[in-house]
Amino acid sequence: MGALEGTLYGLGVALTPGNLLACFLGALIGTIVGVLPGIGPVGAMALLLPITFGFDPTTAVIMLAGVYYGSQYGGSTTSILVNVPGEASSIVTTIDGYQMTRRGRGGAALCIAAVGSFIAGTVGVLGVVLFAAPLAELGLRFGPPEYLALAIAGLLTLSRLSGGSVMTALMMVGIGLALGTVGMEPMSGFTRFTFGLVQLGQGIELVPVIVGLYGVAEVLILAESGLAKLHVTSVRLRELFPDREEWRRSAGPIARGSVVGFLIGLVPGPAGVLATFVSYTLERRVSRSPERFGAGAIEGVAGPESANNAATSSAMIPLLSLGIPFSAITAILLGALMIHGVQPGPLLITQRPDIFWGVIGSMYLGNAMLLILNLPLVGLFVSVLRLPQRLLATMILLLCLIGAFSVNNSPLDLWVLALSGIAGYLFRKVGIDPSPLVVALVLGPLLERMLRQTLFLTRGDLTAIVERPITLVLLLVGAAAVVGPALAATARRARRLAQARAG
Amino acid sequence: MAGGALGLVLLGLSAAYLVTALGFPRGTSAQPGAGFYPVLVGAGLCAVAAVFTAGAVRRRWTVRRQALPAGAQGRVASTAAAVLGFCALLPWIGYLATTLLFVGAVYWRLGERRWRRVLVTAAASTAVSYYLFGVALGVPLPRGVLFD
Repeated sequence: MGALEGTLYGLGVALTPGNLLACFLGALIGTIVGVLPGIGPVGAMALLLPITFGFDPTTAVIMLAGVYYGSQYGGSTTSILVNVPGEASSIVTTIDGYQMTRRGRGGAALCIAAVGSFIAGTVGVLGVVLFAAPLAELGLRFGPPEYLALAIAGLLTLSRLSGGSVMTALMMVGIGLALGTVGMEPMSGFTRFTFGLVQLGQGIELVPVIVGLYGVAEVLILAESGLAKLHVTSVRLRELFPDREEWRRSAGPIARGSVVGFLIGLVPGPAGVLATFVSYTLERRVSRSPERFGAGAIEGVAGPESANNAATSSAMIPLLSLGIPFSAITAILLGALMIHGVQPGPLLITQRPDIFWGVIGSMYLGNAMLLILNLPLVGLFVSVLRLPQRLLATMILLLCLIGAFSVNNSPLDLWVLALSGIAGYLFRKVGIDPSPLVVALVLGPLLERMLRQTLFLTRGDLTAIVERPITLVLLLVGAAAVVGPALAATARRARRLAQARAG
Repeated sequence: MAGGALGLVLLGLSAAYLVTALGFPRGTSAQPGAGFYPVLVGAGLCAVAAVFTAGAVRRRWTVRRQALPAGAQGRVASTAAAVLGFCALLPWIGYLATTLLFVGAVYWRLGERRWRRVLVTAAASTAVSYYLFGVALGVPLPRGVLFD
């Protein structure tokens, strides 16, 4: 199936009533999640995962993906109007977005953010259509050694880009891989690290870990903050229209943000967050009046808000083409596919074109829905913020507990949730990003399977994998991501020292 | 908390993981057993934890204490305790009683002092969540050993 044919087929799949409703609900829930500072898209998707068990896999993934990109739209609302980023990828938007609100141009900022997100989302979907299928074809040539190298390179790159020190990120990767070994080993049936607990035989469930790390931990942070009432600025519909100058100033940043975001989305790590920072820096550099940045420059809203949406789309490419997640969010989508018995990977496009093209089609429809939803209903979404935060925090916590329990109806999952929540809170306090742990927890079983198959294939000689060009390149990329910056810093220090001596 | 202490805790846990993994059948490199991969992970964890600890000690890494609002630590501790309490009580007194107690306790602890509002919220959220998950979605919510 060609790109155009596939896209039309995907739109047909996405336009069936059930999938359309799932797309709408996902986008709506995502927007609300994005608006609320208490729970992020990762926690919300993990909570919704058990509810989608009864759905068709295509419908389930369409709904969960809707939450993902919907949250990117919603996140900008609180950043612009309240100076509180709903999501990490909206932090940059607070800088100029809130200043625009203070100057009475909050409505225009919201409109530009929504239009920019829509355009970037569309560009992103176009990129997915163009690149996902060829990458899947390339993926068909991958054997266990290539997958092993890809997973290792992905985890190493993620360790470099996830924020904080490489060592703490590698520690998180190690903990995730270790947690992934708990339970019955699928090849021999040998149980590992269960300590006599029968329920642990099935392994550590992904949902309670994610909901704990992202949902419970966030509520604990809210509890610590004192749950002060937010000052919410109202926006009337007629205030939503930018003037001609604002449109003119936004066109370039939206175009550049779309391209930058799309490229960064392909890299393992917190693509949405990175894309916004890179886009903001780029816009300030290319601006003829960089002094306006920080004082309410519309370019500081248009670029980053476009970038995070484009990154959301392109982050789906490795997942759909190769079945490899490079972020906590795509790890949940992978988990959702596997729970429904769908084996993600390059064969997805031929074996389950309804999922592959249907999700792509729904992303386009979802972006259009979000543009229509977000502008006229901005007042309604903002009104969610007027609910007392203590009530929101209590309800989110209850939802986390029931959501974690409902996966397997197992009290053990509740303990996993509670411990993950406390660990997540402590991670936040010491500035550690838990996403490498989540990705490693999902990739761990794949990594082990591929390692063992590679060892079978090479008769125990792992050096054979560097003789394969793709694996060699992937491993070099991973190694460069970890040691490259350190080597560059050492070289810079040595050069400075040499200059000082010469001078 | 000093980073070195955190590193030592991580190193201890990593070593415990590795020692347990060494007890599993490892097989050979051509025919790896169930313990082969965990041993690799454990060895990697120990190495990373050792480098992390050494780095933290060398740089005298400490976690800066932030200025927190009044009662912040108490609110966090009691909210976390309520979550742990929910896990402990659920199998014994069942979903309805546990949720009623949990919502009431957390809502009150997070600052709602009007007890009627606390009671109404606890009762309403228990009833709505029970109907939504227990009845509509068919999740078998525990009745509690004490009430069975």
